[in-house]
Amino acid sequence: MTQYVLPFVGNIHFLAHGSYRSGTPIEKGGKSMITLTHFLVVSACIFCIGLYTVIAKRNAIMILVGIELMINSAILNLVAFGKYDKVNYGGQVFALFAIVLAAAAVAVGLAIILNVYRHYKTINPDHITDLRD
Amino acid sequence: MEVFLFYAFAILAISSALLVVSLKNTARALFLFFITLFSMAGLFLFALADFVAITQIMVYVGGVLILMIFAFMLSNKELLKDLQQISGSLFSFPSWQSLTLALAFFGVMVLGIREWNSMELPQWMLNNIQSGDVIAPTDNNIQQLGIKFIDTIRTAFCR
Repeated sequence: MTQYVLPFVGNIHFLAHGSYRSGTPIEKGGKSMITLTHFLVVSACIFCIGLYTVIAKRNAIMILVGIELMINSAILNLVAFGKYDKVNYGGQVFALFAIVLAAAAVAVGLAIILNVYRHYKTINPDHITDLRD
Repeated sequence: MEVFLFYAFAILAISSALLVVSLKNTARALFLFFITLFSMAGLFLFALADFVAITQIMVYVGGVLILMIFAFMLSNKELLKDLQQISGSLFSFPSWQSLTLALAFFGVMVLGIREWNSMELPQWMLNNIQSGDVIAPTDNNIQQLGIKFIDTIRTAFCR
């Protein structure tokens, strides 16, 4: 359990070879107790909740929250698959890029929301219809 | 034990995300979003991505969410009134169109995951498992990530 909960102390070998360890942590063939399917199902749930938020909410900030939920579920998928790629750590590197990109996108989006609020006195996207033909 | 912890984190993430969606009060929903992000960081730990989990906590909880709360406070005149009054209906009624769409998409995804389960693993994963190139809990992830960022990815951009 220690190996899973505290990956930071993973390179301390007396923990890894002590009595905590029963068999290799990840068996050959990926038959760990927590399989890839667990991660996939959890991230599918989170993604659909985010999708529902984006469609249903009438508040621009909540729509941004929904987008963040969807990005987070995508990052969970990247990380779960990246466990099997030790050669170039593709999943984790791309997850870090995705986190930074999401943070930048949220900063821009919130600036736009504040300006829209100053101009229209509302942040309900249904009421901002200047471009409607 | 770790399976129990994984399920605890997963249930915490999904239920708090559901609460974020269904609460009417935006301030409460934003503060519940903290819990979702923290438990997602806990789930990242189970995928042996410690540095990504720390980055998630630092960037999202420390930056993005504070920014969102600021935007909410700056754009809502009735925040204090909303927080003080205890309205009769705490939850908003789900709109059935969005619910149908989200549930249909979830069904498609679950069908895809089932189909994917019945197939064999992709070839690159089988190769990596066979050659032992799978991230182990005893690996030093941060050192490897630093080497990858400084060495490999930099040469991809500026050579």
